[in-house]
Amino acid sequence: MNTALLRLLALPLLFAALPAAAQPAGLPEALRGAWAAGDCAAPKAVLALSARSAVRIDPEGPTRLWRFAAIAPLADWTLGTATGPEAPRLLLRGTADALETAEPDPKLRDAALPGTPAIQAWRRCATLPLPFVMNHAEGVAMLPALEVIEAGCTGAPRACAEAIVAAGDVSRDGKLAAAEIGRLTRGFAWMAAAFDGGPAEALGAATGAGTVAGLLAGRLAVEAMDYDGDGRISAEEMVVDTASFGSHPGSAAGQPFRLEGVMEGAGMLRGLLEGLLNR
Amino acid sequence: MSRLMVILIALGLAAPLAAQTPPPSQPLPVRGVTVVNETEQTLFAIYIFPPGTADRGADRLGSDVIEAGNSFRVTLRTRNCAFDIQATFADGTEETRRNHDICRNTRIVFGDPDAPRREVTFRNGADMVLRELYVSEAGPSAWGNDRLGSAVIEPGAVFNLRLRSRGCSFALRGVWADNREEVREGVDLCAQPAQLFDRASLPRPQRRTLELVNRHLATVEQFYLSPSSDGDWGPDRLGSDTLGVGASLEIGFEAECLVDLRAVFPNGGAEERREVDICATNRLVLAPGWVVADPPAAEARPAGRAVRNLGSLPIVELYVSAPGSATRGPDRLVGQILAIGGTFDLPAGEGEAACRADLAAIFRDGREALLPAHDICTGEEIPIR
Repeated sequence: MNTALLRLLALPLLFAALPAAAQPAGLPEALRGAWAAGDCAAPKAVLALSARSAVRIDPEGPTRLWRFAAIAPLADWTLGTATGPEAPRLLLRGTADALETAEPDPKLRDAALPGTPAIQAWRRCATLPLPFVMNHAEGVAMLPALEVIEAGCTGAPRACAEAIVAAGDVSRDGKLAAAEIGRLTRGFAWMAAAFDGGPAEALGAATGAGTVAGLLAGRLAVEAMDYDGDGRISAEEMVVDTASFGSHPGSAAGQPFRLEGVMEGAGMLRGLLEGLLNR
Repeated sequence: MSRLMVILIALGLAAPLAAQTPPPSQPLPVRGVTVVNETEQTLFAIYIFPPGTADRGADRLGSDVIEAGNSFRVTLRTRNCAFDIQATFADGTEETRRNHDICRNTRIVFGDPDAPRREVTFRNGADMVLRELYVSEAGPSAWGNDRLGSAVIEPGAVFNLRLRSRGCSFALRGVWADNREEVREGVDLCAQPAQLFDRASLPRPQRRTLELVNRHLATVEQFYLSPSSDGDWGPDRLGSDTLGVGASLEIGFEAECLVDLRAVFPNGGAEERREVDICATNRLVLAPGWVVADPPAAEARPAGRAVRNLGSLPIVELYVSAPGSATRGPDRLVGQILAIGGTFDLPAGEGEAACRADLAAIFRDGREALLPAHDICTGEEIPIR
């Protein structure tokens, strides 16, 4: 379990050595946040945007997750090019209150963008349906948290550990308690399900299934790395216990790491949980 | 004459009617018969019906069964005494007693009540599932039904069989998951009630070695080799190792000549080929097309040729044309793209006569990768960067 969690927490470092691209400027701040297609009370789909990520949650269809490796203006659009074998592209334009997105044909050359893609309109909503929020808020919150981690993992292992702590430190005490590690674990499980393109209910199930695993992971991680016995893990303690921090100094700042790695980590946690329960 | 005939006919018909049709005021008597199951099996159904009747009626047990050694009383409202009684057992066999008089004999016994009961255990000592088990007192000429029914004996597991027979000598037959059989005759189950099936009597396949060569542009993470007669892939022959790009490895195994092969790659993709004759070679080259071509002979000129996108963007157009041709021809990807790291099989038969072709790949940013007069018949993937 300790190894599994350490690997999970160290994933940003392990995958920071991906081919470097130009540091993305980030999506325009006015566009970030949650958007709904159709009625706010019963949205056909929800789009959540952070600085370098977008996730489209469709109750009727597969989930789409973009982790942008490059973001650039294109005429009156902003073009985000995501990681992945097909390097999917997403066009965005709008204001703080109205947003339009489009997905160009995968065969369309960059020079021919934006082309004539089907445009999807989105609206700001003060609130979203409670079941939706309950199922996805924790996972959506992981997108900017992961970006904070990635941005912090550009140099020394200590800085990366601090970034991990900062991203998961809900109580703002500078350390990670078991519940906070559990929240990270659940968030990664949600992201893995989203990256897999699962339906909305699968994302909710991933978070739900990760609840117990997350708690267990958190408790065992604290037991493993809490050297001063205060029930929480500090960045110092994490660096001490994570040899790979020293051997993986990272590369270009803020590049998205492979989410397949996250899935491996979550799978390890689940497998370990089953092993513990079936003893 | 005609009046006499009418009278005779009327009498002939009237007599049986008078005998069979009771006066409405007399109720049908209640008769009962106790069915005793002295066999070694559960009795699933009992049918009691007038002799010679095609319709045997409903199962008199309803939802009940009669376990071995137990009995069940069936009641009937009838004036008749003679019935055919048919029993159906757990293994599907049926036994019928004709013209049983339930008025004189209210008990009918299936099986031999004086036969001793025996408990015989069958242990699977092999590493393969024992799928069927036959135990016959009559010998191999009449195996009867599979004693396991829908069950199997897993490796290391034990199956308990109840037998009821005056004799001790039986013939045994076990059928394994690979359809091979072990048959033993004249086995004294009274003296040896614990039987072991471990494939020891089966001739072992010859020990063989096979050199695996990876000519793909991706690591082979797992490799499976199992007899074509086996429904299971068996263990990963690479164990904890992997077979890197360009690497080779010798694996040892016991198998007949015909085997099924399966290679698994890091992205979860797999390639399989069935019924490969490995007695004809001791070297297998995993290269594009190996799943459709003869492994050893195909190394020089494999049928399949694939390009792999090793660039940083998807390839959106791919052209294959004769060397020096003025036109590139149609986009081979048609409406698709070639994802980063993905492969695309060039159409079969293309360039079969002349293996050299001009390849042109257009990445999504417009960059072109050109491979003029490229030999596309080397059997190795064609990397495009």
